[in-house]
Amino acid sequence: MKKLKSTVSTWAVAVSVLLLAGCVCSNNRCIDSTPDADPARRVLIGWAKRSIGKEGPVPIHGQFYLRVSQGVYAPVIVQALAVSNREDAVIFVSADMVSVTNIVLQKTIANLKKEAPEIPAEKIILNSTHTHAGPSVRVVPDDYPRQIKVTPAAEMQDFIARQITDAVKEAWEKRAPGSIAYGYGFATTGHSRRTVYLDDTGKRLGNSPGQAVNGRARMYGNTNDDMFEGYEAGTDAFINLLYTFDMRGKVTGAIINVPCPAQNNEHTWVMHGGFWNNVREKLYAKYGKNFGVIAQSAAAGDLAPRQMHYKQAEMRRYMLKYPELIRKFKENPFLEPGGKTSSNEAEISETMFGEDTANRIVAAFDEVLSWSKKDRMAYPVIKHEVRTVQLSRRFLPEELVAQEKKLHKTFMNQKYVENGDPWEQLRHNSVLRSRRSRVSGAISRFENQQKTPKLTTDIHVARIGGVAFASNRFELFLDYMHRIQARSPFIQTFIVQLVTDVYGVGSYLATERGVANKGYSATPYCNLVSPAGGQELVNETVRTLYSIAIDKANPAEVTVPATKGVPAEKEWEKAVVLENFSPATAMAEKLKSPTRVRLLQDKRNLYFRVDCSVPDAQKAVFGMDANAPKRDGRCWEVDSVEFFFADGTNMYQFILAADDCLMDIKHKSKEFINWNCKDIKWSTVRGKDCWSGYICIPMSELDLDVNKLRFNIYRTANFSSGGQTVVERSCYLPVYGKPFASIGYFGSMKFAR
Amino acid sequence: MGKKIKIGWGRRSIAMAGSVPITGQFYLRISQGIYTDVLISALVIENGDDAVIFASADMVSVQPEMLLAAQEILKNEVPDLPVDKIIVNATHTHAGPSSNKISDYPRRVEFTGNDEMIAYLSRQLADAVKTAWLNRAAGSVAYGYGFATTGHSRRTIYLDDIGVRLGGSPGLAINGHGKMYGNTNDDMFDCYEAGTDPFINLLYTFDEKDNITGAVINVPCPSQTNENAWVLHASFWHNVREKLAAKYGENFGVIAQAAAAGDLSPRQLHYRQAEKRRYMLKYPELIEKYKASPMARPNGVKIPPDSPAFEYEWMELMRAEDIANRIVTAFDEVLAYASKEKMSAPELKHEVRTVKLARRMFPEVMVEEERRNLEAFMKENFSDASDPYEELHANSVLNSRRTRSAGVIKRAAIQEQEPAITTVIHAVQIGNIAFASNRFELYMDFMHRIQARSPFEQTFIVQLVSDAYGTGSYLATERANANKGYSATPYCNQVSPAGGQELVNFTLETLNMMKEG
Repeated sequence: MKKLKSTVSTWAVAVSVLLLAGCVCSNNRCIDSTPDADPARRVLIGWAKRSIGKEGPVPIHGQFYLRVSQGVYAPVIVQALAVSNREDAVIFVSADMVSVTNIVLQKTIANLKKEAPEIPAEKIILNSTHTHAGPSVRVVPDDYPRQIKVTPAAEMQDFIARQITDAVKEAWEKRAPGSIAYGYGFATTGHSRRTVYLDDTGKRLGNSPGQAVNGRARMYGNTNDDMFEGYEAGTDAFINLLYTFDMRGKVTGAIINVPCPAQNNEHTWVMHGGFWNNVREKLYAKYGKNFGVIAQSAAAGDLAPRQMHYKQAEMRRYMLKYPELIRKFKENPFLEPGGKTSSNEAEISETMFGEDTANRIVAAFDEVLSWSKKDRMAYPVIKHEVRTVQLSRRFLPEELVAQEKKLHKTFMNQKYVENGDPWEQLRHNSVLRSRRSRVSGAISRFENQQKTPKLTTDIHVARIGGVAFASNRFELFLDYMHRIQARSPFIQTFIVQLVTDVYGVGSYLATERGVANKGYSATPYCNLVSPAGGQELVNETVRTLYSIAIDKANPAEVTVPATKGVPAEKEWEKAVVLENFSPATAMAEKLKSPTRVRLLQDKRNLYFRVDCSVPDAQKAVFGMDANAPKRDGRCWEVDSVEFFFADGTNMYQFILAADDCLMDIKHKSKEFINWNCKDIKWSTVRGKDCWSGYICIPMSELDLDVNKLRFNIYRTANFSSGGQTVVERSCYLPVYGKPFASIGYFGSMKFAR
Repeated sequence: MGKKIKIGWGRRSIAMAGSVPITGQFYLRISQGIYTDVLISALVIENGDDAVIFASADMVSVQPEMLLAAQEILKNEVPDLPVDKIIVNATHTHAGPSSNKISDYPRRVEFTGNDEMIAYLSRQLADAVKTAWLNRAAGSVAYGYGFATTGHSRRTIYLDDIGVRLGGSPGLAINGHGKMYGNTNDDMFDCYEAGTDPFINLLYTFDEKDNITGAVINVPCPSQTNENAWVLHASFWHNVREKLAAKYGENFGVIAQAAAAGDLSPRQLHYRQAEKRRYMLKYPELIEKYKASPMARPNGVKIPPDSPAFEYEWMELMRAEDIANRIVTAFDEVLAYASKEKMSAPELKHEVRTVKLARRMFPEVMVEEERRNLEAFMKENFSDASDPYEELHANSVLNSRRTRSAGVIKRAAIQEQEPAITTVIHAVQIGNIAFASNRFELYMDFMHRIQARSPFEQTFIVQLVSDAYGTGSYLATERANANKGYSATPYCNQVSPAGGQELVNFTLETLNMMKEG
């Protein structure tokens, strides 16, 4: 091992010379920061919507049996929002549908390429709200007998693609300068729908062949059960909001993101948008009919808009709170086939749940708007990456498939109803068809799983200022959202589920504990992707979030130029300059505290010169308390720069703060060692809104292999902005939210001869 | 229908001046002053045949000695008052006056002795209850539930065993896949163990003129914001009370109950930067106000107003304000509909049962480890730091570790002879709702088991209710024990998950008996 050897002798003289020769903070500014108002980044915003409440025998999917529309109960729409600047664009579209198949997206893209080629159609993030009472674009098989006519899938697909195309075109054309604001609040929307038991309910209560294999868990299981244990993953009351404003500061719309599919009243034979109808009505009443609402479901594969306990209390709540609405609903019940109507207790409860949920969403909307609008942004950074990723499939074990084959035979032996009541026939035959196709789907997946062990899908990752959007095509279990949000570099990360890509749509993506507990939504029928694939989705998403969070990563290899002895002022001109630091923690809109480090070396010493700026030094925390020690005080609590050097065995840390404060630490095996670097020299000077400093480190004091030398540099800026304290942490090489001492993110350092 | 009820409210301050001990952390704190009022509130509901006396105390726990002493006072001074019907719960503020006994270990900081604390606190409890009892008059109640985010899961789960990756904390916790307050920005972060619960249960009281006089507010969240403070404060309940007092008058009564929340706490474990931004934009004046008047610390130490430690303090204060705003919003929302159905003669029944719950048994191998831990702690010398507060900090931590390890060994020694612990549960029926108490920091799943199977429309679970046999200790679930981590380690659990299920079943048996008449 080649060791570094040196001595220090002329530091004091050199520093004096430097300080006399030229102020490190010339013009009292260390570094000029770029102005925020970059014209290329002025945000343009456009909104549009179209109805998808098609007349006629529109198919409605979402259950094992097929429904055919008996009319439009409440408006079902597609809503588009275009957000762009000269650099990039995001086009959000939400559709009141159970799912939007890839064919519809492909048709939409084709329409746009032909009719409006300037629109970046690949930047469309199209999500379904997962109402179970929207028009369906899925192919209804015609291989079973039915007397009820259904609008053909091709017609449905063309219609929906046309409506989306028109909404996107109009939103794009209407784009005008505006601003955005964002925040989060709390609104209870979804409840856990996976009930877990102390025993195996598959054994105790049996399974549902062709639908679900139960184990310790059931979907919508009875909680009033002596063996009820708990809800698998609980719930999430967070609501993420992004508001848009016009040039006059008037709010024009919002993206509302809640972890709840809009599937209240999920058995109706009429079309409606679930609780989003109620939300939109309330917002239209307040802000006008043209108010835009992108309705997004965050990860909610294991959540639903219904309570699983306190049902009696819930009904009482609605009866006392909404007597007028209940009366109105009874006067205008859901239409059912054969001219029947339905307004039973379950439907009343679900309708009122929609109203109650909407009230909470709108209350949170108002609450978050009241404070987030103080921080409107007209020049947010916009970046949008679309990545194609491969996720590990859920493999089906041989013994399970043998069972499925038997089951398939059983279903194939069951006969379709050939005549009788047309609606009863439709119900019976469509259920049998569903069971056959679910079982055959499992068998077919098994046969292909060795050849195609991965599922191909697209993810969209978009950044608008300090928030990000991350999409997936699944009914994603809640835990995955928390994994992404917790590791994301952005202040807020909106997870958007059920986003269509050109490869497909939908299917539950269950977690490790979901698969272990079994139950509908975590059975082999329901999962194309395994929990390992789910974690791959998380990791790919987080990686992409970081790639758009960091404007441009610095080079990971640095060669330090040589100098002769302690450098004079002029010699610093040939130093390697390390600047353009990245945010070290959650994404700041833009770093407000630039840092510049210059490095030189001779054979004995490493010479550092640092320049640190803040927006307003009046309230910056430069330097420590007057009584604090100059050596080994709590430098990291004030504005400071930290240098890390390591070689895989040892690690050294130097923290330099204004007013000549330094802390030096040796790390070994995750322990801090009480250590003082012998003969180290340092000094600092203050300027206006900045401070500068020098360190001379005798290399012989560092027990490091120079051929394996790795490093990183961090800045903790501590200043006041807008009357508030800001602690801004940045780093030369990004650490992706990890601790500063994460050697895995260090770069390599070489010395020029 | 039952008989006409009478309702009475009372309260006393427990903001004792002087060097009051504050427990709740592994180190002992001594009060440096009163930051907000800390109270004991009492509510009596009785109908001549039966009664319930709710009392909530802004304390980390109410020791049995305090309850027994208060009962003795009341037996002497108000003989007709049914003292066994008192349900006294701690709100679990970690900055209330302590009724805990403090061990003897070297220290120079002086503080009020346990006898004096018990005498004072039991007197205040007795007086609050007495006032409520004597004030009772005809009135009515109404109830409902709503939603308010209060507690967040504090048990983070990892895809790997972080006990192996990051190590444990001898004398404090053994980590596994679970860790309390673990870092969520970790590549192996899996999930929150059991999630959270946004339900809020409310029971309102009205006088004969239909004026609202107070409420029982039950949320699954311990009031432990600013839990390291060296000053007395009531956490978010203070903010709630202030807001309600502003609306309904100074005498408005609030029984502040924590529902099952052993695995919950009032802090988010992700979205921290978003949370900070939220507070900075929403409460700039409150933050400035705090900066101008921060919580006092020992030796008059002032931390820099722009330091991370200071930021932690104001963040916690804003959490309390934010939680209080949500509680009060839900309070108003539920009141709007619940007040349409006031009841002046609801069924009123109150059962008090002594039950035995299966202990958490320690395998010999674990006890062996604790013996080694204890030996190591006993070899560690107490500090003789020159600063008395530094000395107090170091020695109280060492004492805690010794006590916790010794506690495990002691419990292991008796576990075969005494495989169950004795505790008291209260079950109360008021019309179509019920209250069910326990003395634990009860994990949320147990609450859902009771609520889902209860014959009542709403069941208010009240944790940390004192009985004559003991107080406190986490009661963790099956999955938590498997995941390990602080609050689910042998140090922390007197009762096993099986004992937890016994608690569930005993409670439901009692609720069903009451419902069936």
